[in-house]
Amino acid sequence: MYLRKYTLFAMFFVMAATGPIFAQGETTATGLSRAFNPSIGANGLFIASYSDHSSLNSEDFQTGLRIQEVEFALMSVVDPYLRVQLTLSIPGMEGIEVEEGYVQTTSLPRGLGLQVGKFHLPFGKQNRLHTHAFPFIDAPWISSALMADDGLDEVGFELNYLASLPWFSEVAFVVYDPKGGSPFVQRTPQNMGYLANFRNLWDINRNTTFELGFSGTTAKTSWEEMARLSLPPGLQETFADDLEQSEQVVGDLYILGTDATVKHVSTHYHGWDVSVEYIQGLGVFDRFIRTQYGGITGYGRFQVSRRWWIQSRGDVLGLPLRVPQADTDGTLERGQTPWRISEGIAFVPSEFTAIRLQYDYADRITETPETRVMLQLNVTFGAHPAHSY
Amino acid sequence: MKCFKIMALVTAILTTGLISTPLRAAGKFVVVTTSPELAAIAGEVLGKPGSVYSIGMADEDPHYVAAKPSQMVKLRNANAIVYNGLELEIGYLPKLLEGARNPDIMPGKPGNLDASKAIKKILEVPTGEVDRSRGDIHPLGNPHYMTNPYNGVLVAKWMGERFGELDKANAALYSANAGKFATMMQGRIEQWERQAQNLKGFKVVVYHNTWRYLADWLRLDIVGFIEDKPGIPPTPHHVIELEQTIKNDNVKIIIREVFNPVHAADNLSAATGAKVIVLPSSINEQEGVKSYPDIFERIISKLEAAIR
Repeated sequence: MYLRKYTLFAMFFVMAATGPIFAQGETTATGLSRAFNPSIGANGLFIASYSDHSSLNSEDFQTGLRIQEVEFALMSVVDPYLRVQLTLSIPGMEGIEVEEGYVQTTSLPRGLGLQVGKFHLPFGKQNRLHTHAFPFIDAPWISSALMADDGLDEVGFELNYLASLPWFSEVAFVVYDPKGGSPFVQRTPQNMGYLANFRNLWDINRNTTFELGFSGTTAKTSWEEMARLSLPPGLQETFADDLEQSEQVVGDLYILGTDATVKHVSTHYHGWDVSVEYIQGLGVFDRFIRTQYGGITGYGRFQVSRRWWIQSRGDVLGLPLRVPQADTDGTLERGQTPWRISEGIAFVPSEFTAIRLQYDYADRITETPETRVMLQLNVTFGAHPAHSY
Repeated sequence: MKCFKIMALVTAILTTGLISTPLRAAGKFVVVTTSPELAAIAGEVLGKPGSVYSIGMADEDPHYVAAKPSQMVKLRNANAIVYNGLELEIGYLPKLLEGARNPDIMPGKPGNLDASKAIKKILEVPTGEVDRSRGDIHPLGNPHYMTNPYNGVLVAKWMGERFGELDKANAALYSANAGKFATMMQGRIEQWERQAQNLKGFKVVVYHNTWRYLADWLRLDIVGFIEDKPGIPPTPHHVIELEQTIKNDNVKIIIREVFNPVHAADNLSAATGAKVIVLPSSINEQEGVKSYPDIFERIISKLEAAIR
């Protein structure tokens, strides 16, 4: 069902990017010049992984070789008023999906911008990142467990505004259609999602910046989904059948988040960044807060030399020290806090290739903590869009 | 929920309240450039009615400038963006322009100024098939044209015309300032060319291909690059080959910039006896290099000292 919808969606954007097929006028001033073809880029992520919990039924615990994701991106200027971006991804080589497909205004005055289509919602620090741009091989737990596997990536429209202040201060509002797979599962006409993001960045000095962001979003959810969100990644899939049989009670889910990042850009290959992000979800059923969940992730990266980086990350779920009761086999207890530490080293021979080695030690509230090692090859070719900060 | 409502209220106030804030300081023609040398020339051309800001830092590799959001704020309030062009800024400028949300400076608009349009002779435009097996090659040609002072003069005159089109009230002033700068530079160039007579045909090895236009002007002979391919650190095999080239061609000078890695140049120097000199390609890259002419003053004096 979704595949068919996304295929049609992809066709629309491809046609919009390649020709005036839907133009109301019958003439064209540009013809079929190849000069106007979109820029095309592609990225591939290949992984070798080992987990000492590989008997559990989840991609998170796999031992072996796999393709993490293949991604194709088309970018083009539509006309003097719009640009278009289409990103098709094949996660795990299991079906093609429109990861992003949106048009963006380029000519609105006074710092305003409008974006329409499917895109990563501007929630927190890491939700807008594509998989190949994650600071680590995999997503932080606050994204993969508390929101969805691929973060909040929905169809909607965004109005944003860059304030006329001495520092970078941006606000964004999004109205979106929640889809299955996100924490908002009730797809009814009444269930629209609403999101606000407020992001600020100050220059501490010419090389160092401090960024502070606040995000909030709300939409309808179900008790079943809230129970799923209380589980760490990996275990969500393991207990999926149990959760599907749980009570279907509809309520409101509010997700609030804040993030802070200090980043130092070095002109001599010794840059670093330190970031922390906290997310809190509140499920309201029958006007009472029936459940809440939260988590925090923090990481630091340091560039040792031109081509080498070392990095470290920590994830904690079950905050604020409260895990709601879930209808599972009883392995969860109130008050437990799943956690994970990750250590990594990255070799970046050029801006188009990176090789990353990552070691994880995680306590997902299973009987014994998990050890995992991953080696990733990250390759980009074709057009390479400008880098985000 | 209370937090969510408060945040929504704050963002709504910011959106509705600040949207009416004046975007630019009254009476100032605001120009943002991507490099300090373009900023210096823009400052000479604009004079008092102008305000100039450079995105790129003096000691920063111009290929790897970070697209800081604070620079979007500068661009949001700009009347014009002046950039080097030839895809030197392809890795960050599109992101900044997108984030700035300033329709006056978007590609195709009069405030979007590609300084390479002023250059008559672009060097090293690749022929045949171009792919990244050749490193971070620039498909439109070598973008480091500002290392030839004649090109600085062309850029200044071109800026005078473009700024005049955008700010007609001060067009005559911009044109006069550009003319003054060109006259001053012409005198300095003649002096530098007299000083550099002995450099003609002098063999050098350079780290990155920043100096092709300088070599073209002074008739220096670049016999090798420490980077085997642009943007790609040298392999040990390439360094060994280059060491042999330096010995065979009796190369006396290895040139690098302040942001280039030190070890490869120093190791080659130790192995061959060639002297490493650090030349400025931009303003403030070295102590005392405060203006565009200062770049060439320093380059000529360092090269002269090295061959004595």
